[in-house]
Amino acid sequence: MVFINLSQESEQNMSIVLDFLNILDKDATVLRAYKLDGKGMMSKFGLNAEEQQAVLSGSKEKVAALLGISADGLPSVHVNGTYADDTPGESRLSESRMNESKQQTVAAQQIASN
Amino acid sequence: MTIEKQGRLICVGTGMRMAGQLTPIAQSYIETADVVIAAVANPFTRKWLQDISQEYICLLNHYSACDEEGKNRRDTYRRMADTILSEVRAGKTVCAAFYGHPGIFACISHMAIADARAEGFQAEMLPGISAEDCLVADLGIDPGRTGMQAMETTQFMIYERKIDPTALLILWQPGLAGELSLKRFDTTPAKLQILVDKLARDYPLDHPVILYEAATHPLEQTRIDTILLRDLPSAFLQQITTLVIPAAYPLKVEQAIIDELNALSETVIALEQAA
Repeated sequence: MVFINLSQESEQNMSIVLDFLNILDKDATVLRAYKLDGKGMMSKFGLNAEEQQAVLSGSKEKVAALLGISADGLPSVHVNGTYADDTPGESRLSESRMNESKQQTVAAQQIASN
Repeated sequence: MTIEKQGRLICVGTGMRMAGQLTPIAQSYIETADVVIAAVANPFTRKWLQDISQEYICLLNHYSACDEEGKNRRDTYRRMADTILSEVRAGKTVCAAFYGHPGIFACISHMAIADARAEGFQAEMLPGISAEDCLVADLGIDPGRTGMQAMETTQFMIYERKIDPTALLILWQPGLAGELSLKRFDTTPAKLQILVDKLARDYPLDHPVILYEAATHPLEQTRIDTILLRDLPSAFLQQITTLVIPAAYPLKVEQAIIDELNALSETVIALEQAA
């Protein structure tokens, strides 16, 4: 994961972008205004041209770059113990791997003895 | 006299998106807790939570340990719960934040709460908006209409489950279908074919199924792709993809039960009239 060093001014800007995304996500009036006039809404909010372009592109990578973070999502796997706690499949897998390992050992011993 | 220990644990859900799906009480705990320990996949939400919390620890970094020899997701979950508990034991108010609902497909929160309570600490869970909630809204599905079955895909594959094809079936994480090592985060067409073969016991191969992905921020589009069941092995699946299988057949009336219930009603009416 790559993190970008930012100046104080950049940090303020990225805060504006993040605030704007959050407002879009929770304020019905802003969301409606954004859908009618995206550029106008972002200008009112104080986003500069580069930030507006990134938001309008809908690109997670471009917005993440403005925020100084990686766009790579961390694993969004459900942290799920429903089969991890008791996995017969894994047991079977382990057993087959053990058998495979035993066979390899036997084969290696045969080669050695020859 | 019981001496209450100082540490405290509150598990909250952040919803699937950003501020719009975070409940006011969850946000309040995130802002005021001594430390926020979070499993939030969306980088924008994660950045925001980092900014508003006093101290932020990212639990998902533990997944990198899955690359280590001999470590799998089961070990990772235990370490995540231990990370939470160590902060509680240090006497801190700990807010553990999980995307979606903190108690749905989130064994760590349940483990941490059980451990904390067993050690005499206060621990509670607050609900959040889950992937299932978003799915119901986005697909316009009412789980009450035919009933709903929901389970993790690999669990469905490796256990003997009785599926009712007259009800909705939701399979979570088909993007990890048949992944038994608990070390990888993907699947293969061959594993998906095994899933299709098992589903074909109850559904026709030409049954339409939906690949669903909830939007995780305001700039993202929700994915709703309808494909045929037989085409699943070649479909594009991500970790966040959910497989939604609508009912294939109409509900069948069980007349014998209706007759038994009617007989009960008639008995009650007869008794009332006799009285």
